[in-house]
Amino acid sequence: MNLVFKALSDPTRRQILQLLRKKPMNAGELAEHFPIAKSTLSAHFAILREADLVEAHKSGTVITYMLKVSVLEEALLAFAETVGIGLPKPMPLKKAMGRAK
Amino acid sequence: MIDRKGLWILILLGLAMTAAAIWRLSLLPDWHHMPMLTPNGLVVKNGLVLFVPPLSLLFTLAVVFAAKWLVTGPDDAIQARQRHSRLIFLGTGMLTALAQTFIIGRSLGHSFGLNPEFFARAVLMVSAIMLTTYGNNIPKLPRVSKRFAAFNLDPWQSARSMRLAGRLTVAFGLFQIIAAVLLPVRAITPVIMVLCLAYLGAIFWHVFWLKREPSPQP
Repeated sequence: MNLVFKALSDPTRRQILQLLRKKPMNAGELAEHFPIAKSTLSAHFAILREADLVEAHKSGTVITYMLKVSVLEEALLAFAETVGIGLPKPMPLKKAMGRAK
Repeated sequence: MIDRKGLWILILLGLAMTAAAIWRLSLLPDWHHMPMLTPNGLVVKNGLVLFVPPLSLLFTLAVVFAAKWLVTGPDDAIQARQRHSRLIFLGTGMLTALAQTFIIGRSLGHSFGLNPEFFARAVLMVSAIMLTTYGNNIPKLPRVSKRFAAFNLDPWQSARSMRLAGRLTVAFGLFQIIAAVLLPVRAITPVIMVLCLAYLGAIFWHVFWLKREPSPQP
């Protein structure tokens, strides 16, 4: 369960899971949605696979990922999304107003 | 689907329960009239009520064999499914045996210090918890093929139908817990029956709907 919590605590990994809810995607398609290096994304995939939240099918050189979450894990994902666990803290109001000026 | 050890336990439990029912019937002068101890005193029931628990176990076995016959696939996938269903089928066997012991005991005048209503609610709660645990892991089960092409789904459709089946089973279990706590005992059976039909209807409708919708290609 620790692995699942660790996997769900990161907003990027949660976004990957949300994308995989719509359809199975390969690594390239998923990478288009994130402005991060492919190596970083690979590390995220590894964590998701380790937590058994995604299933990977290799055909040739293409790896296709498919969602594989239990009902409880899906509920935890929805909860983490709603609460915003792991998101950067909102900027203090004074600082935000200063920036706006 | 169930492993060999679990299957033998279920068969032995079924045989023991049937033997116990026949033994209790043999003690009665007329099997139509069996005395039962209730909180309101002695009531007379039909002796055939003793065969309800073994028959429900037989029904469980029939479902297990039907499921086993319906699916084909790699050995590891089948074994993973067997491990997953072990808890629910062995749990059902144990609860049914407990219910049979309780019925025979009450017919012999033992109350076990238990209120029958409380016992029924407790059995329902335990089976609901088993069902919820079972349903939670349904979406994680490996994919297997069905013997009939009409039931076969591609990997994406299969994953979606398993997710729905998991959610519905967990919802069913949770609703059963609520029903066991809040509803009057007489209302529980019809409500659970209606829920079972709704559950099966939803699964069939979803599979039918999925087969009409093209799967997204990665």
